[in-house]
Order: sequence, then structure tokens, then C-alpha cells
Amino acid sequence: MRFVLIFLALLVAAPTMAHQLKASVTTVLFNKRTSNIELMHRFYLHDTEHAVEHLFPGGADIISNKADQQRFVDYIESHVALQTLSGEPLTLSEVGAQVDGKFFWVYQEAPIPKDIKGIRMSHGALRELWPAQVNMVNVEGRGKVKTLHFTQNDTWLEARFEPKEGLPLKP
Amino acid sequence: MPLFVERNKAQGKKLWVDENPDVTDFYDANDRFTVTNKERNAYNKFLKGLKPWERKVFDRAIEEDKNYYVLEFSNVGGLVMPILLELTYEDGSKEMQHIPAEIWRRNHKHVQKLIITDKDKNLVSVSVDPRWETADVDVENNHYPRQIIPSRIEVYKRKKSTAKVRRDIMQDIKTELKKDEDNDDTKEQN
Repeated sequence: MRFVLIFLALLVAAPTMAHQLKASVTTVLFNKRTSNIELMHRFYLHDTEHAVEHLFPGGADIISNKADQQRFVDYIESHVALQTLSGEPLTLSEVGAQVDGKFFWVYQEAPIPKDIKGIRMSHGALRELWPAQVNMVNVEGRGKVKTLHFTQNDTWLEARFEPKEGLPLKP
Repeated sequence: MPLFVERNKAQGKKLWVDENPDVTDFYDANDRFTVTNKERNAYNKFLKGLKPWERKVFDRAIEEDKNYYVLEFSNVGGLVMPILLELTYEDGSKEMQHIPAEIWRRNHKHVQKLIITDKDKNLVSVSVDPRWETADVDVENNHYPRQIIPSRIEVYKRKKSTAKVRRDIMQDIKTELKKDEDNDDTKEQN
């Protein structure tokens, strides 16, 4: 009986041991110095490896296999898109990717269009694989930081920048 | 005074104004920094308006004749934190000042801190939390004068060194110290 109880206790404790936070953090930075929109995606290394295994059966090794890293980068590129508020797509170019501690970073960039007042973004990475996946995006560099949460069925979300202080609001 | 005025004077060139003094007016000799009786009256009125204890503090401050710096801090993120200051002085010395979070108790959006130093100790730059001890998401606004903080992509794009080690210290450490008299570069040990 005692062993059954111990076994049951272990069974209950098991899920808490694995990391179950299905989340990624992306920073969209409007960089004045390079005049680029810089996208920096941060994923758990653990998630990326599972994702690559899911998408391309046959095992994956993100840490040491450059080809697997590139597969994941390509996957991200096909699942992240930016638009202006009026719906014009902004083409994102690949910058690279990098393993840093327990995270995997993917970098993309696009030139900042003239007179941009906000952006529309879609971030579907990993959400088709795990319904619990949440992608958080911080839009920085244009006034207050705007945060977008991609959960459930969200496809396109938008962030609008406040007009600069002192300038009258245009209708 | 502009440089060309000085050079013209040294060359002995006469200016139009010098030859025709009648074109000068009041604003040739006075500008917006000229002190008039209006300012003196305002100053006397300010002194009269001080309470006795304020006057005492004011007189003491003038007598001590130190440097007074007022640092202003804004709470951008929302959470109050201790302010960890690193003050750098003209002579290169550094000083840490840890201001407890209680500084925000009267106003949680904007506070000022008075820093007093001796006359020969001029403040050059100030950094907030240089050792990343508080929960700060934006380190770009932590420096005065402002510093350029490169973004992650900018750092990633920098050319990486291909050398196996940055410096071959185990070799370099055997180098003999050169004396003043021998200027011979070939004596360097390899």
C-alpha cells in the first residue's frame, strides 16, 4: 500500500518537474540609430527542439546542429509578419539566430517606413503545435512600450503609437 | 567673442563700429544676462520672504560655498525601487550612493535629490544602478550624460573575433621591460 501511495505521489509531482510554460517573448524595436525595425524573438531552447522534431520527423539537435537551427529560423520567418496600419506588408529580412543559455534567439529586421503611426503584426509561431502557446510582443522605441499577446485564435494584432507630445492630433 | 573679431583686432583692422561710434546702441554693451535693479529688488524680496530657519540655511550654504547638484528622477515603469547611484568626479574617483526606496514616499512619480560636494570635487557623470541590482527593464535612460546602449541585433552583427584567444598572455608575460636607453625594437622576446 505504501508503495502505491509513493507511486501516486510521484505521478502527481511529475508534471511540475518539466517546464510547461509555453511562451515566447519578442521585442520589436524601432531603432533610431540603424533606422531599422528590429525583431528579436526569444524561445525556450526546449520548445524549439520539440517544434523542429514535430515539423521535421527524425530527431533534432538545436544546440549543435546548424541545419536544425536554420529549419527553425525558416519556420519562424514563415509564421511572423508585419504590416503598416493600412495593411501594406513590410518585408522582414533574416539577420541570424543564436543560442544563449536556455534560450534560442531569432533575429529579423526591416527598414522603418516613413511616417509610421503604428504596426500590425501576426505571430503564429508554435501556436498550431501547442494550443497553450502564448507569444508576447513588446513594441519599443516609439513612446510607451506597447504589448501584444498572441493567444488562442489571434491572428493580426495592432499597436498604435501616441502622437508626439506638443504636436496637435491630426484627424 | 568670435575668433575673427580677435584676429581682426590683432591685425589692427578697424571695424565699422570702431570708426563710427555713433552707431552703437544700448544692446552693444548689454545682453540678457545684465543685472539691473529689477533683479536686485527681486533678490531682496526673496531674502525677505524666507523664514528665519530658511534664512539660516541659505546663509550657511553661501558661506560654505560648495557645489550643489540637484538630480531629478522620474518613475517611468511604475514600481518604486531604491536608487543606486554611481557618481563619477572630475579626478576620476567614483562614489556609490544608495538611496532607499523611501525617497518616493511623498511623490511616487518624480523626485529630486540634492547632492553636495566640495568646491574642488566636480561631478562629471552619474549612472543609476550600474551593477544591475534592481529590476530595471530599460537601461538606456540610466546614464547622465546619455550613453548609447546597442540593441541585441547591433551586438549580434558586430564582427566576431576569429582568434582562439584574445591575448596570448602566457607568451606576453615573458616580455622584458624595455629601458629608456635602448630603443631597439628587435630585442623584443618572441
